[in-house]
Amino acid sequence: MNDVAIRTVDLTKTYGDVDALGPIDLEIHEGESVVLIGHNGSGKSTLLNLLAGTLEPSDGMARIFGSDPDSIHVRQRRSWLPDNPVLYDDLSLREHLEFTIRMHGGSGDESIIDELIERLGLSGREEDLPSQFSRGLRQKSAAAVALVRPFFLLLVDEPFVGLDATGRLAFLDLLEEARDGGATLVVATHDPEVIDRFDRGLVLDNGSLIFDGPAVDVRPYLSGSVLS
Amino acid sequence: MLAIFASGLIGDEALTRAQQAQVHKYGPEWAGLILGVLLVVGARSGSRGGPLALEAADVHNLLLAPLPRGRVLRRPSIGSIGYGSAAGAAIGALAGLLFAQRIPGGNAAFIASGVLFGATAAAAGFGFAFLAASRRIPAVVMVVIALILTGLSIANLTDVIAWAPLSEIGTIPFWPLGFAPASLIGVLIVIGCAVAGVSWIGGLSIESAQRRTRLVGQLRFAVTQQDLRSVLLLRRQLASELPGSRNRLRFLSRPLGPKFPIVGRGLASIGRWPRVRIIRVGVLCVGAGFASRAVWLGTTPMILVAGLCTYVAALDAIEPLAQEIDHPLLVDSYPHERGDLFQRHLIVPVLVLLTGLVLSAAVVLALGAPVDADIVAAITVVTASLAGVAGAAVSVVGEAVLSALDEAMMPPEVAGPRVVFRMLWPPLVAISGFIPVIAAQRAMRDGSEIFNTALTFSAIPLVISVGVFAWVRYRDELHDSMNEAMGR
Repeated sequence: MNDVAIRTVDLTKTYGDVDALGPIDLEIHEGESVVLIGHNGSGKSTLLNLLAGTLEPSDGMARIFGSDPDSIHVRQRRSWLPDNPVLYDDLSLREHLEFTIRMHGGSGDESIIDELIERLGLSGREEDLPSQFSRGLRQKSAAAVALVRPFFLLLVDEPFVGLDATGRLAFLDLLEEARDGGATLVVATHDPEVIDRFDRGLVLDNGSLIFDGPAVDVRPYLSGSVLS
Repeated sequence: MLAIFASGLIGDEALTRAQQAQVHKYGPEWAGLILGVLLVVGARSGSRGGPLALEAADVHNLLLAPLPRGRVLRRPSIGSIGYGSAAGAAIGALAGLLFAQRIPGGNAAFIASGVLFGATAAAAGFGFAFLAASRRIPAVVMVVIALILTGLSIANLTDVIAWAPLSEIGTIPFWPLGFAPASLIGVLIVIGCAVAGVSWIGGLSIESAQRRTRLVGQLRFAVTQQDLRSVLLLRRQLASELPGSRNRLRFLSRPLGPKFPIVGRGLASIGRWPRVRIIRVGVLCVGAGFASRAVWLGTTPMILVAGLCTYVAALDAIEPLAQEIDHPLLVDSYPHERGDLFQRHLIVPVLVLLTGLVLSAAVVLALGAPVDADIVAAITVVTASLAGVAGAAVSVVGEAVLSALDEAMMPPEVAGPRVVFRMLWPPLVAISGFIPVIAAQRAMRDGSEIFNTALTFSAIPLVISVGVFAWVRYRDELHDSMNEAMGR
């Protein structure tokens, strides 16, 4: 068994008197690819934000590669693609990718930039400002920014919203390549067609983890018949 | 505040006959230029659907209803002109009162003529705005007409031409020195423009109205919260002031990027500035230069103008840092301390301001330099650039004045002064950059060594700026320590 990439103990998030998540006890090992499903409001985004260090737990704790999710050690190794694309207003797509790769210590080979631009169908738009793109193109740009940097853990929230079929397939291929390269993946989605591409499935319902097992076994939960 | 400041600038002694003649000659030309600027501002606002800002529900329910749009928009248009004219009249009355202190002609006469000119100027600005917004006359034509009229006023003011149409209207506030009936024709034309603008306002673009509705609502909320960064962003959106698609500084940002990514990123951001922002920063830097010259020549209060000019220019120049503040998710994804990243982002704004102020100093000195002004300018360019960026950094890195929960929990007696301090502190930091000019001016007056004095007093803005830059770097750590000490 590989080392633990993600460990949560009694991880809980509350907003006022609303219990958004938990308590969740979870271990995800390095190299695993995990799909996270659940209805709207089930706590998927909350869990991912806690793992991304953008939310602080109300109780319990989360550790990524043994460290605090907001530590610099973790930031070096974790890439986070939120559901709402976050992009600068004043940089072109290429400048976003160059800046991101350089902020992570890369200043040599930047051929990955051209490769990502081409594979995600962004050719011809690399000198444009993504802040002025359509929703789909912004999502692709954000995906490129998340994938261009080195990472050992990739957290992704609803990546396929707004993507066209080509972009969706390209992104799935890139995720598989990342997994084959040894990265740990945690992807929240509602898309039943991509479940088979993952090893392990987690199902959240009303903030509780109600299933943890092989990804193929989460299908019944997608229909909603099993969920409360 | 304005009245006190203006009173201090103008003084109370009566003008000599020669000075009165100067006022009589150049006063109308300056007044005409002010009117021209209002026309340009109005035409530009109108070309983007301004100045009306309707409620979202009014746009959706009334402008899309089967009603003549002119009827729906007439009332708010008249209200805008009325409100603007009243404000203009109040400012005109104040100016008239100040004139009457020093020029013979009587308080009542100067106040009345000031009121008429103020109301006319405001009505002209709104009239041009509505005409441009109505699209009955193409907006670009209105902007060109406003620019031509302003250009003629500048030519008249610099004695290139002997007469300009707006200078004729500009004689109104100086009627107590000599009544010019021809200016009444100008007033009638302005009234005609305002009436035509209101009558044709039904041609307003729905797209513009919807965009303004959304942005103006947010802008009002940001102003209420005294959130300067949001106000700036929304104002830029209202003015369609978006980053350009071409990076003009690519020749610098590309080679520097691999080794100095934050400097390269900052240059890429500056390289995409729209033309209007380049012009604005240039004008502000030149304005700071001329205000410093006035300080050097003895008008000390102009240090406020100089400092405010660099502060506003720095708020533009600090955009790359502001982008990081606006996108915390991206900042938190980098394996660097936030403070370190923010501090490195201050390099490019300082370079921008240095460039602008060096050019400004060159312009001001080229127009006739008083003795030793070049040495003082060299010192001040450095201190003003650092202090300007420091002031802007305080504003951008600090939270919105009223957003912190602490403020909501504080008693008004504590929260009030704190809010005032947080509002005034950033511009005060920027103003401190011009302390060497005042020190040198005093040294010149007292016959002391100018260079040494300016250099010694430059320590004040330098210490303040370094303190602010250190605060930017260690702010998170300071907050953490304070929270820990308070047991939070």
